Amino acid sequence: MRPLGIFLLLLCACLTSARAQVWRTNETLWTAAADISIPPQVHWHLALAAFQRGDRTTARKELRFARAQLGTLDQHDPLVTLIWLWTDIIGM
Amino acid sequence: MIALVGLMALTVVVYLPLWDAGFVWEDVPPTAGAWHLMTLTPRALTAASMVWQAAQSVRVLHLTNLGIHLLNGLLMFALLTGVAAGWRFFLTGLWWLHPLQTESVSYLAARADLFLVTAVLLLLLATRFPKGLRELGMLVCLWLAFLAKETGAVAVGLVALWLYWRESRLPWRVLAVGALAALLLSAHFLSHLGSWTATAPPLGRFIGVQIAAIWRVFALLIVPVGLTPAHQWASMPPWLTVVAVLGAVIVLMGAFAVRQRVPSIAFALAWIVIALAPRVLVPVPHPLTEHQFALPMLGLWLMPTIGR
Repeated sequence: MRPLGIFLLLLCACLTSARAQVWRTNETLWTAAADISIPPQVHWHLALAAFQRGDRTTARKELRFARAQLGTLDQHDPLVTLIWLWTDIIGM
Repeated sequence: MIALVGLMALTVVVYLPLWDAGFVWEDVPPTAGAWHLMTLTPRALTAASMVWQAAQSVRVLHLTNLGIHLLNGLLMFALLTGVAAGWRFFLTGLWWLHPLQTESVSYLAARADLFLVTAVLLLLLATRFPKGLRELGMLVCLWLAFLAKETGAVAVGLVALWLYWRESRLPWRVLAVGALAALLLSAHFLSHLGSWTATAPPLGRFIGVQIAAIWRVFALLIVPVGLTPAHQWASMPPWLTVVAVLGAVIVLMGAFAVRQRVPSIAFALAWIVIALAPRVLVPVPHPLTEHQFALPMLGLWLMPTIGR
């Protein structure tokens, strides 16, 4: 194997190890119960505010809450696309 | 050989966190009734293996998943005979270590996908057996695939594709028996879906979402950032599904056009289409997940064997 191949395999090993660790801790996403008394729009704005002040932990939490309630929004609402793109394409 | 053992050891180290992992989400302790019921379904092999381990700890269940994953890598290594040694080791290592495989290995409910990959790899290896033994081996492996998962019926199409591309001839008698069994299995499975499909979205929307999801998982294969067991495909914007379907049509037409010049790409795409056909065409409430991509991605790993 060439050095590039070995590097790619080691990179994969690091990423997979991190993923397996997340599985061990039960993937917080699964247990993150969204507060349904707060609409997803509010969670979205709280996430944006947290992101702007550099608090990525809170931003991720609020995004998860927003995403968990996407079904309550009109599916043509641009916010659905925004939340979906952020959480699934850009990642949390 | 040392490189192979080293890669295996690295894979075991990478998955060490599973030592303390518990049951999550759809993973139910195998003593629960659900798994016993499933021994009556086409997923009998998977269910039986879970029930058999009922008396063991969750650790044994996780280690078994890891063991099947390692076995699949070794079968892959055997199948890649003839490929340059460097590529052979790299592809085997990548199969073991790719982050997209984490869900198949870590998630006990995904054992069916691991077993299905094992059965298909054995099936492809059986095509190399001497005449006589080859037919028997293929039928046994097809049966294993049917018992691994409901979608195991795709194994018939996959082995036909493999033989057509590599040998330009097909063992019609074996494939006819396999296809008949696959049809019966599919009919049995579809007749038992019942009210479960009632909550699925309309077929057009379902197909669009699934194809867009395939694009996304394919992107995760290249850049594995954003992995999650709970993709929110259902809330996907409608315009994105249209773009995804158009993109898929263009890519497939392009692959068909260059099938003579670049047969490996056409083979891999045809493999993915066959492997994912049930997931795209049978509307179920649960959209595509990462672990369901284990069998389709095998087609990409087999690309270097095409044209040899």
